[in-house]
Amino acid sequence: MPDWIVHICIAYLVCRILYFKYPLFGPQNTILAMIGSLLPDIFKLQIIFSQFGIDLIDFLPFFHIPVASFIVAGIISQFFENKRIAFSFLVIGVISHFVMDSLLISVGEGLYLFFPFSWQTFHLDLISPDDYWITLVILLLTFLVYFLGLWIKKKHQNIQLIEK
Amino acid sequence: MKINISSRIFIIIILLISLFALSSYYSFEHEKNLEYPSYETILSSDYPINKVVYVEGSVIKINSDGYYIIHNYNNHEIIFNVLGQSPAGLGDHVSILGVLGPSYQILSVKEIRVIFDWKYKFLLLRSFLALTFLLIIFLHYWKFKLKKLTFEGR
Repeated sequence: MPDWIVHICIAYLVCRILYFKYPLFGPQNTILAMIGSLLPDIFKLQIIFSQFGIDLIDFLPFFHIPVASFIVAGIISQFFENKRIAFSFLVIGVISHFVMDSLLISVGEGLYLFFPFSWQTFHLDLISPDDYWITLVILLLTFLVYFLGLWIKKKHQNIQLIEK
Repeated sequence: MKINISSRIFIIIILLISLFALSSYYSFEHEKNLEYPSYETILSSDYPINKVVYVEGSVIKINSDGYYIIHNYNNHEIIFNVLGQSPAGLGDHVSILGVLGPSYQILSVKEIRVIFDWKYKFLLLRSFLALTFLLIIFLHYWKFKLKKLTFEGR
């Protein structure tokens, strides 16, 4: 997996860039996409469970499949006022997760992207899972977009003040 | 916004049933659709000798002939003896695609990926920090209303 910083930042970047044009991609909904970007990694709970001698290795990997993550997103979205928007943003995060994971170098099998329709696995073998340089580049890009957003917001406020 | 709790509970139940059905299908069919024999097959009487297998584990011993990796599968520790020079140090994690010989030996390695122990721990640390940060921001923007059983924007 790319680390969770990368997953969270990619979801943030997608939403923040779209927010320049569409107000729906505001901070509240962006957070949901960021949460969604971690949903497929529910199976990493195995790391915690294994510390207590509980082995769920046969059960948890199922969650690292798009359809399972979409269903989990559907369940979580029921706990939000506007469940359709919550679901949409959680799904944006889930999709960004699988896009990033499909770039990883994988020995053996890749991702079951089309389960239950196909058992074909996918991986593009472009990025090493433990490469922290990717994390640094994405983090830098995230800060850049964040400050660009702040700068544009301030510019708009100044223009509005002048117009008044 | 009007919230119908009973309809939400109904949807959650439907989704949980779907999740359970799909996970059952996955666990029953996964084994049959694997490209390489699973640990279950390796541990069974149908030992896939001379077949290409995918194994992973932590390096526990290195000697002149090769190295040993350990993997915990369903509370059963399997030790593989990989022949050839070790690309990893003690404690590092390796994923191997190789030909399985007798007595859990990996005779020839076709593909290998090494994750150094410190890099793995660093990855876990920064992921944990990211999660903590995310939870703080989430609670900054959303609050849980116990009465309605929903999160509402602050």
